[in-house]
Amino acid sequence: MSNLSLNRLQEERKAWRKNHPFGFYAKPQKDKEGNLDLYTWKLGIPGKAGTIWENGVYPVTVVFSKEYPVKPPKCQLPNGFYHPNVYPSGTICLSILNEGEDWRPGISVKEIALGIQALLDEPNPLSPAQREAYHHFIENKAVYNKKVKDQVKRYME
Amino acid sequence: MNTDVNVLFELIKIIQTPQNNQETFRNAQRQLQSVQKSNEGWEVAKVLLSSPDNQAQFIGAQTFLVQLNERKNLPPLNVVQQDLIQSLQSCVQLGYSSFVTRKVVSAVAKQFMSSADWNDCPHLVLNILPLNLACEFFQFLIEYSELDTKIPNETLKNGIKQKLSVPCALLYKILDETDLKCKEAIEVYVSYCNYFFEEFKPLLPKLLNHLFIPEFVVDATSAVKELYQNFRRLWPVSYKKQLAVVFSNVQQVPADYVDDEAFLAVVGLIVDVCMEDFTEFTNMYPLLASLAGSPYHIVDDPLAFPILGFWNQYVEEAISGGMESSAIEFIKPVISSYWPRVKLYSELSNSDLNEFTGFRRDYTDFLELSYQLVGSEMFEHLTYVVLNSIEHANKVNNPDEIDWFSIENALYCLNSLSDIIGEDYKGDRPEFESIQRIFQSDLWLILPQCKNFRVKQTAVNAIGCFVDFFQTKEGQPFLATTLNYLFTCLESPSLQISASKSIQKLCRNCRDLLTNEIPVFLSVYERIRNYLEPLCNARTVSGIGYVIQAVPDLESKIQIITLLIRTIFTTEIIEFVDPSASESQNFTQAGISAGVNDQRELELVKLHCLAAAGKSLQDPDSISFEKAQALKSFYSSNELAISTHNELEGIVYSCLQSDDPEIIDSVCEIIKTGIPEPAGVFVFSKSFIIEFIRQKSLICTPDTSIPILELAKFLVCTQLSGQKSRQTTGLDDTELCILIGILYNRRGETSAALDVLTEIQRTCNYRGIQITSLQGALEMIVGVAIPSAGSSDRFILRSASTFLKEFLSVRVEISPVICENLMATLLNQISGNASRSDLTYTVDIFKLFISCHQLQATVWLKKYLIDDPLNEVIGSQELKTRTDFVSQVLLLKGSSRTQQIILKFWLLCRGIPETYEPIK
Repeated sequence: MSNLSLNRLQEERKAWRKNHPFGFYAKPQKDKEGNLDLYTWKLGIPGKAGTIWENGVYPVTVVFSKEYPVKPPKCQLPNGFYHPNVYPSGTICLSILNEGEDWRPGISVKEIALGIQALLDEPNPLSPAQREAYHHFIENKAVYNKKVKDQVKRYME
Repeated sequence: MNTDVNVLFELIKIIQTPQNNQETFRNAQRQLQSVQKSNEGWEVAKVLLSSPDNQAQFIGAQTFLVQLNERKNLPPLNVVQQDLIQSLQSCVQLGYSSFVTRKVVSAVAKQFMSSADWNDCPHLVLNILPLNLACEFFQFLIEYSELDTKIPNETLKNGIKQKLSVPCALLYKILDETDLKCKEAIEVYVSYCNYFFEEFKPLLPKLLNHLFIPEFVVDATSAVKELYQNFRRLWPVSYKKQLAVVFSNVQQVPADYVDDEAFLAVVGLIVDVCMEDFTEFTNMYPLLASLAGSPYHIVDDPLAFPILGFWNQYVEEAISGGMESSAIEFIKPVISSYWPRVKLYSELSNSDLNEFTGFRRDYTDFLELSYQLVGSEMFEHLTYVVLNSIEHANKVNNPDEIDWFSIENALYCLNSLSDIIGEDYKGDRPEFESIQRIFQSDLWLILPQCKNFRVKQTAVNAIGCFVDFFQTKEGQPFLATTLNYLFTCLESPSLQISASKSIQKLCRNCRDLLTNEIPVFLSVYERIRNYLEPLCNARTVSGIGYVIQAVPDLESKIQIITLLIRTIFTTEIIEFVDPSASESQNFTQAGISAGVNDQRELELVKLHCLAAAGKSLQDPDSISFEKAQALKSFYSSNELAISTHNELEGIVYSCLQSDDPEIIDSVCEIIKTGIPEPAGVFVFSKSFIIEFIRQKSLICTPDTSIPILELAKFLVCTQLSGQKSRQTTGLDDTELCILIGILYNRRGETSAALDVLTEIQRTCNYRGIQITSLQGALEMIVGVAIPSAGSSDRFILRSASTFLKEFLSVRVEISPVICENLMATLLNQISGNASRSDLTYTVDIFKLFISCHQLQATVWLKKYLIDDPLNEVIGSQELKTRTDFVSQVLLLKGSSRTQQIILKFWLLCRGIPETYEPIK
């Protein structure tokens, strides 16, 4: 099983290098010994241009299990990230990352990155994960927009 | 035929006329579709196909397909086949438009796939159609096979192989005879290879020959790319050799290669093939290396990203495959080749910046990987670039001569390598020496002369990246100069964000070394505070706060703190400046005209800054009991400390009446900063905090109650947790009950209130704290939590689940009323009321209920499921089903398999048992 996941992750790395969208980055992290750990990646997701999320690059930690690609990776934004579909722990609630929903083994790292980028500006109110951002998004868009814009500043490069 | 042909032509005309309104269009479309599906459809198709209008012909061909899909009103089989072949002949003989013929070809293919005994169809088609359309026919066959065969992959492959064995042999023959001499032939060849690679493999050399023919090169490269990627291991060695020969013909890079479509296509193929197999085509490496040094700007070079992608992958493979020594001969020149290309240039437009920055980021990944092969030489080179540029400018004594873009480039690359050094600063490491030389240089003195903000921004980031350097003995002498430079940068709107971030980082890590600089920092802050963007303002205050925290003398410390707080409180808003604003908008020009135009924003800026100050003043180390006592004694007797603290109390109280959630949130943040501390101006007494919470909870709106509840949670948990709190006394019984009462009063905000109560329970349980009155208060709260466990609001449900789990896990006895209500709520959810995605919250409570309170749970479980069904849905299930469910869940005693049993029951109650497959 782990060989399968490792091979797939190597292919994903290659595929990303061959073709990835501008402004994004995705690379495996290093372990304590300084070797590449293909099971933990750092993704940089830029906010879409023309949206309140633009100018920020949001760091996502992607943790793949040995069961990948049968099981989806876990994707986490920083703790306390303000977004209706992000749990207080930073875990992203997105259907393509959910084994019981739309995850398919064929989904690539690039698709995950683009999916998260789309989710930023198009939250899913049917699947809320944190109270504050969800409440603002539904009840008070002005406060929501301001909070997002304040957050963007923290993620400007 | 009953349908009037003229009406049909009229309808076709309507749907083709763009200016028609939507309603007219939809009506015409509906009528036409109805005719297409009718029992006259087949005849209509023939009539339309024979008309002179090509749009009508198209609708006619489409009608054939509609009829073949519907298969309700078709004429006899032989008529269908005859009509289709005749139509095909007419299309070719009468020179119909290709889109019409293509549609008829598609109909013929559809019929062939549907009938088992039309074996001569492919032959008939081949006799009628030219090669390109015949290929389309075969393409349709494979597409229809894929669509029709909705079965897992391997079976799909076998199914298609069986279905297409005859056409496959025929296709092979014509592709062989015609040498794949059209784009459609290449396309269909690839499609069939995906299922019949072994059978079609012998034609690969013909495909490879197309790589030399300009009109086919683009299609052929994409075909070879796909086939090599999918079947690399099945490629015979001789074919790989042929591919290598093809590649070896591309050794020279044409001067205008960015416009040479054929060259771009072949190099794209070379890159892809080489990335699949790093040992097979090493003869192409010189070409790929020379393309790395292309004279074109990154944004104008379609090969820039693929080539860098290759080199990145190459280094990684070289390192993991143990080919370091052979790789280094390519790597070093490639690093240098890219150097001028990753340098900023004045013509770089904002629209191209994203692409350029993306490339640079990939390049720095390449550097980071290559470092393992090249080593410290890389640092030396980058340092040399910076120092050499400065030296040159000094020699000619003209700052305009400084090559700022080279400096920026080197600093950008060094920043990306900062992780390599990490915290491991040792004087004897050459990398360390390089960094030392950068910070020793005149760079930081001459940088203010630079007019390009990106150069300055990269320099500011460099300070943040190498913050650990300043903590070393060698770095300390440069700390003050560097920080002063950063403070200067705050004056520039475009640099504020980076500069304030670096200031905060540097001050936090080097606080002990900076205490002498406080007067300078405060004076600069006082001068620029009105012009700072709110986040940068708070970060700067936070930075100064860290340094103040390190001041050893309490008398001096309190004076400086007071000064900082008063400075914050004399802040005005001159202008909030967009950080991406142009360089010219520096603070001296940022119009005072804006003035204090938004009192609320100003209020918020001040409160955020105070919270930032309070947080950074927290002691990072643990404090001994004696020291805590000494601090308390000082802060309770020093007049200035008392008056400053009173000022803060006044500020907090003045916000009590506010309905603005952000204001209340900020005030609560200020209060929180003092809670873990033993003493200080930000330390508010428990009674003050509880009174604040009590008063605010009486008047707050749902919006403002959340920060208040969060404050209550923080207070309780910090006070109850001896490890977190440095105060010797926690909350007493009465204080706790007051708080719980407040929370009970705010039960409208169920989710937040329950979260706080969960934390209280959890902390008490963890710390083994027994508070008699708390037990009673908690049972009162359970009255709120149980109905919440049946809520359709996920937040409330989640909070109730967590609360009840904590409650159930430690209570030895629970009153029968609670047990009954709880079981009724849970069973209501389990009998189909919970949503599928939220069922897990119910299951979690249920499992604990069964495992921790089995006797009591059993009574109500049996009553509401077997003896006296709780609701109609439960009652409608068979008795055996219900009895089995009860026995199973009791047998499992709350273990993980309970989840599956409950899910099965939930599905039954929802009336969808067939969707449930037991997990073995």
